[in-house]
Amino acid sequence: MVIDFIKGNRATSALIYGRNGTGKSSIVDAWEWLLNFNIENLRREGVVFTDFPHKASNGNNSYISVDFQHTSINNATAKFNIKKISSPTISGEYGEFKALSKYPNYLRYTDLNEFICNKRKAERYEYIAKFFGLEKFSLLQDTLQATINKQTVNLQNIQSTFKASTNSVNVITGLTTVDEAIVVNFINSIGAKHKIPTINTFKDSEKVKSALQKIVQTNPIARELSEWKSFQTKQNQFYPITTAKLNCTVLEQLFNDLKQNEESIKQLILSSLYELSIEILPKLEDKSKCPVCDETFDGDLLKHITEKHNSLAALNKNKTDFDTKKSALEKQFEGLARKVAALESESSSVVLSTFQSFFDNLRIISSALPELTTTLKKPLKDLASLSLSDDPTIEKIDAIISNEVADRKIVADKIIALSKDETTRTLAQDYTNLSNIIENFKGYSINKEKVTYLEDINDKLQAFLACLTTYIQTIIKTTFESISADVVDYFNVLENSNPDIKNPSLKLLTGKDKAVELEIEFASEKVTPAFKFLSESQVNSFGLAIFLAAVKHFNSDFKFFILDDVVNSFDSFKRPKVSQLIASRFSDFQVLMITHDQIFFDTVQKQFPEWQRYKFTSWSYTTGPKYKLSKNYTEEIQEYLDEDKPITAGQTLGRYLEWIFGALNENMQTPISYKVENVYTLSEFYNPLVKRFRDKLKIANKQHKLIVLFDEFESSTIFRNYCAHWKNEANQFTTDEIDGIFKKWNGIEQMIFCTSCKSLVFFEKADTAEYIRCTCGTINLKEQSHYLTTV
Amino acid sequence: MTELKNWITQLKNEKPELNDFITKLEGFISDTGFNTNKFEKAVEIGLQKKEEEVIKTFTADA
Repeated sequence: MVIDFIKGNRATSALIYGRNGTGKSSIVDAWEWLLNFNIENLRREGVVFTDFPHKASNGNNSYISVDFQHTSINNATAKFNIKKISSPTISGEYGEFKALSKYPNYLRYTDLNEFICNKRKAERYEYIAKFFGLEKFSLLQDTLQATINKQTVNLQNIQSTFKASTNSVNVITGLTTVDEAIVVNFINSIGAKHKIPTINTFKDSEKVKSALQKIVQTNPIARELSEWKSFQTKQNQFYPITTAKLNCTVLEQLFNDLKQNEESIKQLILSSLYELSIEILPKLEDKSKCPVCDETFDGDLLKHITEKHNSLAALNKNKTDFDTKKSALEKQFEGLARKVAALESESSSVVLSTFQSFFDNLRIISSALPELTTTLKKPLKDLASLSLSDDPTIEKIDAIISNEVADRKIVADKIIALSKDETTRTLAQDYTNLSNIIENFKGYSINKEKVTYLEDINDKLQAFLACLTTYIQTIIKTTFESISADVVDYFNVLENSNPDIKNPSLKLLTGKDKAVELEIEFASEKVTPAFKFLSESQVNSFGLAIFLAAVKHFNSDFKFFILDDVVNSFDSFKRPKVSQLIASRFSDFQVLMITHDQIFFDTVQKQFPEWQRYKFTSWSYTTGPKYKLSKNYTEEIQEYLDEDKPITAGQTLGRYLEWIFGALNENMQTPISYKVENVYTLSEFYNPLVKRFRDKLKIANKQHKLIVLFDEFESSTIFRNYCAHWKNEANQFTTDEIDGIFKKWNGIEQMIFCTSCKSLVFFEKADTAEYIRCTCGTINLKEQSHYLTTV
Repeated sequence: MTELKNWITQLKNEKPELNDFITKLEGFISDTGFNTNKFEKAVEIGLQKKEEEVIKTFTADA
């Protein structure tokens, strides 16, 4: 489809109206893709690059192309590249276009909604960083912080191993420091006792060990003693082992409860679906449409699903309990597998033969644990049955546990028996100490290097992150300072009906890397956080003011922005102020305004007749959005008059006058008789309105030009008739009669509608003075120039 | 406003002591942020190298 920003040979802005589901937001998505080759919010929802082009195109001939009226840029095109899906083929003066359009210049309702709904300071920081052009910096900051967190854990683990090696060496040497000289001295002291040549460096330590081993080999008792001592060390690391039987039984009971009948299984599947829906629904444009079947739900779908989910609370609790216990058992098996692996490498024949039954049990456990762990990793729905407690492996684990005391005693007794001869005992102890100090010093040396290496990386990563954080915070602060006058100005335009709330500002919280707080002046006092006094709609104004000020600040070379349904969460009286803000502060910008709000669409159409206006009527798979150029009320009425269709023209004019009279009465604070059914005739709106103008513009001996126009308007009996009967198709007004009313009203409207600030006049009382003027003050009906002197 | 790449270049000039490190980091930085997985693997290889270097010092001269 084509959106034409040229109207009557002049570049202008564009307005798109369409109901939900007619494809409006795809226009913003397309623009984002043209700028970034990505559509972030879709990607976050799991949409992949290949989903971006039209489904039927298979990625062929899918492109976004923008024509420009510019001295050097004629066109910028990005075409989907099926060979490299994340890198479109660009053409035209794309590079030049991108150099000018560097900062985000589109704002979706969902962005604003996130700004409001995410009360977390870090989320608002993200929002602000994005619109200050810092999105990539902020993303780097996040991912870098995640990396540092992981590496910090990694470092702590290595430091812990390093500390264990250090302690082991210190226990053997009896000293409090570890270095190569100390270890070499200790080794030499053992060597000297057994007449082994002295060594100078640690790398020769294996020579001493080898020499001592030979001596041990010649002494069978010492050899056996050293083997038992070595096994005792491993035995101490192996125990304690906890029984798995009880955990397995509890898990089986929970499993059987959950799977006792088909209904609860169905409910569990539904529960997962509800959970997913509760997460997804708030993010959808149409919150009443079921994300699974696309059917529209009559009522609050989110509330309905939440209630359904809550009704399964007991079942969910059991499921959570089951998952927690399953995960704990899984970890228990994994830990046991590591311990078994450490013992399985035992090579001493005397140890193996003494503990044959123990090692047989270890082999059974070792071979069965992987399968048990795989079973536990399966999701509940994929488990047909669960019977772990009867598994022979579980029995073997318990057997090992029950034999612990006896097995330990066997080893201790062996060591005592073999240690009776002091020479043999010393020899065995020396060999054990020598083996252990060599092993631990190796571990110490390796981990010392690793700790130094990782500490250096982490320190530098921290330094890099600190620079990045400082940079982002400085930019946010200086940028906000430079745009703060605009933010305040725009906020005040949007919120001028609340004189007690003004001067919004951003505060970067010191001591926190990613925290922004909103501050507001409430009744002349600064209030932080601004949420204390701001309504959601007012926070929305804050967010929009920041976006627009950022656009003006950053996109001075690319004066274009898109607002997608941002008035959605604004109160109805505030919506026209958005267009008034654009008219008064962004007259040098081109805008693409997208809305699904009919009244806002009519307002913008009226206020910006020079804009190109589209009405999306429907969407189809083959053609996408179906649309037509739209006309505002004035254009529509004129067309019906030109085509000599007085009835349709009269009805359209009636609807228009109803709307305008209503808006004027609100602006003028006109007293009107209250009607419960809230249905008023034109006369019931018109008569009090004119009376209000007469009262407020009355000056002795002078007649206001507006009142003259009103008098002329009413002078024709046709108008009175029309007011009473415009809805009745049986009354045939002629084209000339309707044309007369229409022209006279246009004359009145010229006096009370300001084309600069796009506002109808309103009544205002300041101190003792009364005003009837437009927002920018161009029209001031109390000025003497509007009065005629009468005799 | 500075682009990310320009900021990194600028930081290297401002912090010459971090220059070499940042040059290495650049391989892990892209528009999608910092590639944590790739970096973790690189650190793992670095740790492995350190271990191998230390193990070499344990071997006695032939």
